[in-house]
Amino acid sequence: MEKSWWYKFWFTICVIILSFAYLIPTFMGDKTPEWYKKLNDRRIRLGLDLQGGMHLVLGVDIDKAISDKADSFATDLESILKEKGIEFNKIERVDDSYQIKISFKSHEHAVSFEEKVIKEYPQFTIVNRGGNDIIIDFNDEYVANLKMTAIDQAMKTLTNRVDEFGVAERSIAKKGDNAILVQLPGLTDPERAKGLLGQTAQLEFKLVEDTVDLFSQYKDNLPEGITFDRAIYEGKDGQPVTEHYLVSKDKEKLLNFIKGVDTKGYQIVLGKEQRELETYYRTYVVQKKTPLTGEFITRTDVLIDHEENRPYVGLSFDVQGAKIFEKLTGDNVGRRMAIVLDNFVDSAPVIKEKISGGNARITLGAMKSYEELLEEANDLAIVLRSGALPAPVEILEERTVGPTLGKDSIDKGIKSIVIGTLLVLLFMMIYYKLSGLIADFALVLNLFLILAIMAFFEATLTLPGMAGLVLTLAMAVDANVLINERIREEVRAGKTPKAAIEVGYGKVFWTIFDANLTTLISAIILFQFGTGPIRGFAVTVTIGIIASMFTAIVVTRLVMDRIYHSHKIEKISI
Amino acid sequence: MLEIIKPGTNFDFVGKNKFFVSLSSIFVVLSLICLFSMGLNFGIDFSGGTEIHLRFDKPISVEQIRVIVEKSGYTKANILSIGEEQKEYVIRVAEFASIKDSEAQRIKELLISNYGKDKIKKFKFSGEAGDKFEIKFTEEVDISKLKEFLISNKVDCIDVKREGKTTEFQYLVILAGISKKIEEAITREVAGVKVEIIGVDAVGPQVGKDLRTSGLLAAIYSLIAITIYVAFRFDFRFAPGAFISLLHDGLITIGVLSLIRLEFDMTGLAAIMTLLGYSINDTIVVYDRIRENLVKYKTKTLAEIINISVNEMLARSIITSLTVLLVASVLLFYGGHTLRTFSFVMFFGVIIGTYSSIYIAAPISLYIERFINYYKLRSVNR
Repeated sequence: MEKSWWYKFWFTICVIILSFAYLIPTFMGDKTPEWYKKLNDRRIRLGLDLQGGMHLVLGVDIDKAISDKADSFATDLESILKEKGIEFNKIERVDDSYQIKISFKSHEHAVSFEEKVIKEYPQFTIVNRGGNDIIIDFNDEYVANLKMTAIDQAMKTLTNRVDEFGVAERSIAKKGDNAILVQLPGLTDPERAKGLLGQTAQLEFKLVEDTVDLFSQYKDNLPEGITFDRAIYEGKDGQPVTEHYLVSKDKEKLLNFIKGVDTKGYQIVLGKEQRELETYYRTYVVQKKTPLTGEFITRTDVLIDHEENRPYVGLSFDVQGAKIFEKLTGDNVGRRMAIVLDNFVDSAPVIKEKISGGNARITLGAMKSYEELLEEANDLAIVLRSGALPAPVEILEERTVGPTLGKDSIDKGIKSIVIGTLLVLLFMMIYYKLSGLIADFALVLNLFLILAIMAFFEATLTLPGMAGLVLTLAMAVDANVLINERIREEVRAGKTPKAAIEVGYGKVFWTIFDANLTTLISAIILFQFGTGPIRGFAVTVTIGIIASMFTAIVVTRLVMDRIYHSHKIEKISI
Repeated sequence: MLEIIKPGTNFDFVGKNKFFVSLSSIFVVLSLICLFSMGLNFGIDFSGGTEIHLRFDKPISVEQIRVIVEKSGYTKANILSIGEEQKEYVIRVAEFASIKDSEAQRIKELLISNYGKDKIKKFKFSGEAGDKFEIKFTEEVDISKLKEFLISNKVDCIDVKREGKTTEFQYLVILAGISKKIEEAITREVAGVKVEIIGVDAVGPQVGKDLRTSGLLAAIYSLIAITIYVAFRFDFRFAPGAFISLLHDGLITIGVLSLIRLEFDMTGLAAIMTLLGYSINDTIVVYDRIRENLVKYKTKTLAEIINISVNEMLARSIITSLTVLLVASVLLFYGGHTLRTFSFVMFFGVIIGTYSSIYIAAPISLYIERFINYYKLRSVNR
């Protein structure tokens, strides 16, 4: 055989071996040996329609959040103006906008409002002055900023809540401009999930009671997986403070255990802790009352301290919030303040000094790189903003598939694939004899190759995807039909098998290429527009087209060339 | 050699093209009439609503279920029996939220009469937002008492939660979903039956509308992209034929779907797009041979060349269609109700796709050729 034939031959052998290697975890499932899993544990994922579980699309109502904010500011203004002795007749929000219209008793009051009050609120600009009236509006930059971050905040909140279910392989992704897609495979209680995910976020600041030790009494009879721990940090005037807490990798377990703990009038909330790249859950003992909530926050930013070159989070409170915050920090220097989002501690920085003026700064842990700090600061800023802008989320779409239906669908899908493939194989064998058999070999290889590529990309297989798979096989046959018909024509024209094969493959290549490419175009567009199962379909078809080009053209040619490589063979079985 | 079409076969395809082009035109017009007079039977992906897949442990008739569903206050119930045993059903209703505005009004009045009008600042319910409503009180209320009150007044409430600002007293009431309500109603009305909900699909009206738009866009984009590709790879003369035959296949398939009232959902759309891909595949194969033969037989007219090419490719067209048909029928039989529309579209589409490549795409390139020649001739004569 020629050298180029051998290249192609070994290439094909490599492809076959690799395909099998990638398919082992998919077919063996949990029986895959541990050493193999370490080497390669990529497998085809099952879509929610096959696996069972829940698929939710949640809409984030950003408009409502911003107008709510305008509303609440309008309410705050009343007390601010009264305090400053500025007299007004009416404060109201202008319908269908974020604007607030204030009617003052006289022009002098309007002027002093402009001079004394509005300057403290950089997020507002004055859009209209007329007589004794002033209309203020959020400035564009502020609104744009709110809109941009609202989805991030909602996602963060949802992630926290979804993690409550302990669903493995959950996925949360942005969808379009103002929606979030949540997928919870294997979830069985949709009503509970809907209730939890549809709520608006709640951000609270609570004082941590580190000197209180609720847990040492249980230290010797803790359930397995929960450990008791102590940590020391620098409190007021550099005095060391020892905190006592419980740690576990299993959140449910920890929550269950805490239910039985005597809280002595305090409250126990959980937070995360990173230990050597693994996430643990830990307890915080906090005061029951909530002195401050996120509703008073007006803005949060990630800023850089240029002297130390360290990122930190800056946040501002409104007038009322600033007052509470000043007192809270003044009374509790050296203690820690937990930032609690939806009953889960996000972080608990130490209060370094009394903070007045309504602008606070949260510095982050010391032993971290600049990039890590920046990421942490971004995360924290998102959390804090979700308190500042509780954008309501609404369920727009819900799809639940029970495990029995999923199993039914898998059975149906597999049955269709097996019967469909067998029929196509049989047909080709009868019609084209040996050449048909060669095409069949390529087809089976094609099936394996498609599955292997899917495993490699950890693509998702859905029921429509399975239909796409058999359909792709049926269409892949087209390439071989084209080639074989062409070879027949050439043979009829009097060519030897070797020459006929040469011409057959050569002339048909571009036809096959064009035909497949147009199908590919449809599949890619479908992927762009489709949802869940349909995307699975588009993925399967796309992979199928690419794989079938290889098997139908390269692999069958390889076998044909091998059989008919001599000019002496006069008959071709086709 | 097993041969479906003997070599040397020479059907006169082009000669009959007037007949078939007219026939196709009639079918396209009929399809459009069907589509505009009856519309498509949109699945919930596109129409919005709720679809519940249930299984019982003993047979129940369609009528029995219909009565129960309608008694529960849901409209436009579409009930599909799965399998022969009358134990498995898919129920589709037009509603997305489990209560109606009238029920919401009743709840509002109940609350007012219980808590007093001045204590309730706001009551908010929207059918688009799903199974929940918000109440804003002027002062704090006991959550468990509120829940008890609602349940004792036949409100299917699952949970009550306080939300929003600490200075405001806003409560969120989460209601049981449609699936749960129907499950309860059936258990109540039919003695001793066990109901298992095996799947629920609920799509809000806005999402349905969005999906419909994006689905239509997907089909249009793919049509345009394919045409551009054909124009670029082949010849300007070929592109309109490809475009028209694709449009022809799509329209007639949709027309038939509308006529037989098969549910048109996202999977159906995927099938239509796959069909477009398949149909153009077929057209390209024929075009490719025409292109080759144009070089080979320089003296022959385009009509003759089209005829030769289509005849040469006939065996291939039939065999490929047969394999796809085989698979489509397997899917139709074994794929279950989720894939029914998909399989049907593929089955029907393969036939019409093959037909249109021969009788529509090829003749149209012929017409365009004649058209171009006519103008060339005219400009020469001047």
